[in-house]
Amino acid sequence: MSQFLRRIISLPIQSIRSFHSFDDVTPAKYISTHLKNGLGSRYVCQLQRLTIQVCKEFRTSYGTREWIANDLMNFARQHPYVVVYVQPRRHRAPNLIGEYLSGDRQWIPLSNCDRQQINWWVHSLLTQQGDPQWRLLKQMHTDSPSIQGIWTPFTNKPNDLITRTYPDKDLIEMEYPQMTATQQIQELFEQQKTNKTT
Amino acid sequence: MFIRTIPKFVPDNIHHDKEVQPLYNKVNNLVKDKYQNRLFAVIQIGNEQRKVTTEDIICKGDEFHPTIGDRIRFEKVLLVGSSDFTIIGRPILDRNFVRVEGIVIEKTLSQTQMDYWYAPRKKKVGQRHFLWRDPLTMIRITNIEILEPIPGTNQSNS
Amino acid sequence: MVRLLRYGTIFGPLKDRWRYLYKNDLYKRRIEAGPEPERFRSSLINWNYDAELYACTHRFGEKMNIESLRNAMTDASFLNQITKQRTEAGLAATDQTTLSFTHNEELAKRGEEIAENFLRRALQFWYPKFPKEGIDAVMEFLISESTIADISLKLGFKTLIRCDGPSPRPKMLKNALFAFIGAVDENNDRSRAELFVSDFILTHLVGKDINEIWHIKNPMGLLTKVLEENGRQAPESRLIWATGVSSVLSTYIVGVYSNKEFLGKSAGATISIAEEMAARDALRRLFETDEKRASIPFDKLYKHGLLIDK
Repeated sequence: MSQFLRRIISLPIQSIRSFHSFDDVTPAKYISTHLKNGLGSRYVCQLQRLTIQVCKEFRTSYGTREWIANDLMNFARQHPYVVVYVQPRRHRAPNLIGEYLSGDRQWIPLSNCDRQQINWWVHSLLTQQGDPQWRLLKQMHTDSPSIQGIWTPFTNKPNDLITRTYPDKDLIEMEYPQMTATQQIQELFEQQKTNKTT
Repeated sequence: MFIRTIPKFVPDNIHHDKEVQPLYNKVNNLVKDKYQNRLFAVIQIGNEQRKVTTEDIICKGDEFHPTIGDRIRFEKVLLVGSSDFTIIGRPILDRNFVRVEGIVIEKTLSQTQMDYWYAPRKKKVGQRHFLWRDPLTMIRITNIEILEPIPGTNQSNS
Repeated sequence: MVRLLRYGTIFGPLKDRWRYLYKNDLYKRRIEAGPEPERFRSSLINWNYDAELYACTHRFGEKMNIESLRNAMTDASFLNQITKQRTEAGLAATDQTTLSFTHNEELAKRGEEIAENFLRRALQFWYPKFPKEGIDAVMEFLISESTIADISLKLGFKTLIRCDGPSPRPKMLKNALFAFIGAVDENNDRSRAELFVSDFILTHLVGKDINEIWHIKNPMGLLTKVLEENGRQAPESRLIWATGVSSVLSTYIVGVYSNKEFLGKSAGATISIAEEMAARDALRRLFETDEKRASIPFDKLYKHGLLIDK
């Protein structure tokens, strides 16, 4: 249900569009991070610099202008590790360009987005790693897949199978937990015999 | 070695508890070891159960409130084990017994997905296409540790 | 998938022939012009070096003077280039008084010393039974130019380094990272610099097997040597299981024992391969570096007992 709602109340189509053809299959990969981020005592935000290209006059960048006027200073103060550039360009569409530590670059067109949507996209770029669009092949990544050992046909197999001489009596004989049907019939048969004789 | 954490107050299990006590002690000594073995755990996250060890990444495929750099403690731990033992909770392990921690490393979007709808009879509303991208959250497991001896044994406080 | 054009639409050279010819011509010209030359990131409009340095100090959570960071990011080739330009302009070549900064060679040496010292201590602390040659091999891998340059690249120093070319060479990247560690040591204390090393260089071992980084040529010989040193008997290998002996997919499992005491076992396609792998497994178990060993606690090395002055 939530997914269905998300489809209807969606973000502007220019921002969501993908830059590969829909005729081809989206390129796929496994989950990966740069430099095992998050493992040590500190976390490094991967967004290095953010460039906002905006027009001062056109209607298409009204939301961008609003965001710059109200939220930009707060954002820069909260995230001092991101360098923010505002680049005014006359009579062109507003854009958002994020450059990441790994050298990757993300570009998002912001035409006709309102202030809330722009805030959403800025934070989306902030929390990303900078990779292009991928299809995830697996929902997890691990370096040590099995701690208790991978199962083989020989695990937990008793070692004394080697030392025995075959055919072995112990292995042939079976211990039944309760009386079997044949044994019951045999017993009944013997009882009948004894009854007849008495 | 499969061990169940049995609370002390169950009267039926006292006899059984005595039999298993040496096994408990063995595991408690293993846990105390300075160069301890690698631990793994089964945690529950958003109606999904996942087997994790330290240093691995799990992906949560829905909206998630914490932002990047936030450290999380997973409270629903169903199972913890190492190469020599496995401790199973019923259904979850005690909060003071085991600690599993993670850090949110990335919040991204999935690839652009498309849904296309077409009705040949109607005009104007005859075709619609929806584009959307699902939010994804990557969490790295940083720490799994056993804090105290197994609850319900001689060595434990409770 | 979605049909974007209706059937019967003409597109290509038959519709708007002038447009087709024009685009074709543009394409040919672009191919003739060749690839775009690599440019400095600082040559673009959106560039403020001071702001970048300020952000860099906050990114790693280090409180340091921006001037010392500027020195750490200045390569020797950059200074050479400036003096060259000055001589061409007719100024005195040795007039260094006007330059407020120096290059990062000394800081890099200082940082490299710290890194080497700390990495060796950390590895010896966490793998106490691993022999010295092995630790040397792991150290060589960690300190090597390719590894350090890769780390430096992923930390975003590529655009911050000031050098004579638009893209810094691996040696410059390596110098910059070590100079950064030196600068952290200069501004803060030693433990902070060592924490940086453990966070970004030591974590490069995650997902890699240190037994594979140190390549052992003759595992059985090494095993006998190690057992002799410990005063134990020489290893004996025994066949435990074998299946599919006469088939293509034959499997042998060989165990290694010393005085009837189990050391290790492994599978192989032939007996000799299985024996060698079993010896490797035994070594792994003896050195306590096998898969079930806990990983290095990168942020808690000090808490576990690795002291600063030792």
